Amino acid sequence: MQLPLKGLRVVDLTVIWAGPFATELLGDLGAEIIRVESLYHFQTNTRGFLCRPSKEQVEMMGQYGRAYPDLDPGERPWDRFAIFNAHGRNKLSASMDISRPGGRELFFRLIERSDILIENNAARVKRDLGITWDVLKNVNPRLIMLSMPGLGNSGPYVDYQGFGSNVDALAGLASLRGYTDSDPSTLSGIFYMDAASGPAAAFALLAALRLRNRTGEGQFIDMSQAENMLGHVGPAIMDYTLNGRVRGPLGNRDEYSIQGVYPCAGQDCWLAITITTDADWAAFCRVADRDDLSADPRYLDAMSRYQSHDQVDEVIRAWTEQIDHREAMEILQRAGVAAGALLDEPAALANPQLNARGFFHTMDHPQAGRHRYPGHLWRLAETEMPFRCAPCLGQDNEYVYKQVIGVSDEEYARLEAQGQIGDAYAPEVR
Amino acid sequence: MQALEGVRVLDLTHHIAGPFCTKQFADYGAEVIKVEPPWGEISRRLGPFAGDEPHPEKCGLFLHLNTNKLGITLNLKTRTGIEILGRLIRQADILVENFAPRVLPGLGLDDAALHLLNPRLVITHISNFGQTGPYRDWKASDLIIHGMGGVLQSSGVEDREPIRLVDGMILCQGGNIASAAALAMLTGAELQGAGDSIDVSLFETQAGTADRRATDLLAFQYHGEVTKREQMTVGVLPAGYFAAEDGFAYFLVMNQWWPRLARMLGRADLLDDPHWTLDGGMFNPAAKEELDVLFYVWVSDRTKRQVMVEAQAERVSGTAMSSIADLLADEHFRARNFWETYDHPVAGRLTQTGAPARLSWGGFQARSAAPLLGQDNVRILVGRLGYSREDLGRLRKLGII
Repeated sequence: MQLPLKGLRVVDLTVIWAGPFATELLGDLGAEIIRVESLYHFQTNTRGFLCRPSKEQVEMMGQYGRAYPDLDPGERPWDRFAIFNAHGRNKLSASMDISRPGGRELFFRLIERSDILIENNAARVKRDLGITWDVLKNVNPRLIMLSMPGLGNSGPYVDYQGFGSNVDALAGLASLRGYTDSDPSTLSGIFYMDAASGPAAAFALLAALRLRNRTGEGQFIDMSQAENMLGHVGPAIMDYTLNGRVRGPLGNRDEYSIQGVYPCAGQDCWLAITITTDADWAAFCRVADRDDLSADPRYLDAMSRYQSHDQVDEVIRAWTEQIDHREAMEILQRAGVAAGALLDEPAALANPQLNARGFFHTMDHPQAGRHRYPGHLWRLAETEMPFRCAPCLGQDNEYVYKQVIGVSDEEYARLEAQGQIGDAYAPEVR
Repeated sequence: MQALEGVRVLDLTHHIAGPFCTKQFADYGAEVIKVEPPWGEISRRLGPFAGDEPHPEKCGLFLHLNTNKLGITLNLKTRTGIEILGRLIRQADILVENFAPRVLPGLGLDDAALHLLNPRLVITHISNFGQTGPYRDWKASDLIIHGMGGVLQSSGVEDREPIRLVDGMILCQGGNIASAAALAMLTGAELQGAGDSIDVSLFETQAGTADRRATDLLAFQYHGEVTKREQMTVGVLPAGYFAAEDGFAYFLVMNQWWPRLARMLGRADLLDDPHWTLDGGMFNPAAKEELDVLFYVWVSDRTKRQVMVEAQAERVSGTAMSSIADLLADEHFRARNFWETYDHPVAGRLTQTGAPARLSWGGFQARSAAPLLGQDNVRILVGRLGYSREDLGRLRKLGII
């Protein structure tokens, strides 16, 4: 079957993770995703933490800043950065600086011929560039524009500066996780918000498209990533609005099952286990060769087990500590117990289930080399989904400018001479 | 007019991931018929309970996940139940289910059978590990999916156990991914006159998640380093949670913002001091320990809200760490009218989350609270499928509804 979004054109001004995740999903469904990238402004943490880091700088960076092949930024670091290449499949890249003379007019010409504009910059960026909805709706009344700053496009915090981890703290989610025996200084900043935002933005855009099909009108979608994410913590919110209870972290424990993350043999190897029913517990005891325990009154029934959770943890740990975590997972699952090894990257890449399902796609990227990419987030029985490598900067200039926007060869050459069209950041960009 | 008005979703889901998927459809105006067993779906007993009273109509998780849906009951272990389901399948545009993969085929309702009943049906399967593969029948919890698929291994502090996200978020994310696929495939089905079948593995949604994991899997291949449990930094300036007078504040400061940070600390003078500031304006890493002291003291002298206000005044990314109580009181979310009110016949007036995204028109609406068990049996079975009231009574006595 044909891809459902074939023929849909998306102008993509997204950065980092959240917005690019949304366009990744749309691209997988057949939409044409055109990333518009300025050669004069290096987007925050999108094609690198720095535009042209030296090898020495890369080696001193934290985990995400250093992610280049062999820790070598190479001649074109912006084409070799893992954050970008991991989400960039099926996308096109055209260089265009909206703030340079003539840039906005070029952008308008692209917008005229497009269905969707999506961006997740700070709220003020579209104002600064002169590309707010008030302006663009006159350029293309059928355009659907989605803008997803962390805290939305209005309200007292509208111009707040922050990453997903900032919003995670401000919106109360950080207060719900963590070790129960230490204070928040041991919390690490997380980027769950980015993951939550992608599918919600895609869904909102698809919903607006249905409206447009009926009425011919486009519209503006204001998405606060924080508000979307709050939908994922319903129970904590409801416990407060129903009962006035302010929830805190549970560590890795559950509210009723026996659950935890247990250390296994080897260095930093862990197993997550969830034991709910009496049958689950009996099965665990059999596997751990502790049939004596399934008759022990401390652990006989689920309530007693939960009350003796610390002792149960010791029993479980005594078994897990002497066995490989993946082997333990297999044994427990065969016995009908819910268990999962925490998979680090090599273990995930080698995982039998992901490989049996063809989850990884081996691709040759012209600047980064050959690697196995995490693939589509769903399988379709009758429809083949695309997987083309993430685009190098400006890779699709000819197509976007000549075929989509419709510039002549002369204009194209002029724009190249002016530095609008190119495939490298301007020398002064850091 | 709402965006998904007229779209019919047959919802066989239970627990979290499936209902979260169908909630997106319901909230945007689709008709979602939620099918529960006569004894109620599992999330009705998972709490939190209004007034701490474990009543199936007072359960916060259920109330949150099932807004705007119609609710019927069907016992799918009976032939009559399956027959009624078949009639609903014929009328649906989308079917969503998150049973263990063996269940539907075991009821004689594999994809081929579903498409025989309704060739245009968009079938959406959500499961732990997918409909195929060696782990197909494995059991899982939110924690296990998070641990196997996602970034649990690299979450927390290095010298102790990894620490998870709050329960349920991973399942919600998976359900949301399924909803985007299903809505797109609905367009496909309408264009082509035939529906496809979508197989969402929660494990795979995590393995490819934008919360670092997809990046980590590629980065490992680039440089051979596994992702460690450590504070995410973007440079050498403050990153993490810092103690304020009355709680904590979170900062993540890019190197390029050193001048902003210095001004925030009231120490613009440091920008002229070569011990602190290099040529070109970047922070001198040699002064890091001294900066840390200065920074800790500055934060701890202020309330978390003062910290945030002053940081933001200089455009430094620092935010207060809110409790859920702080969140509900927060002026920003209130000013945006984010919180919605639903009236539920048993649980009463409910304050719940609002729109995940705001369309200018035709988007999210808080139409109705989550359904009572079997609330719409009359409307659907009598009103739409043509059973008589007497039939309905008999169905109930037989335990079919």
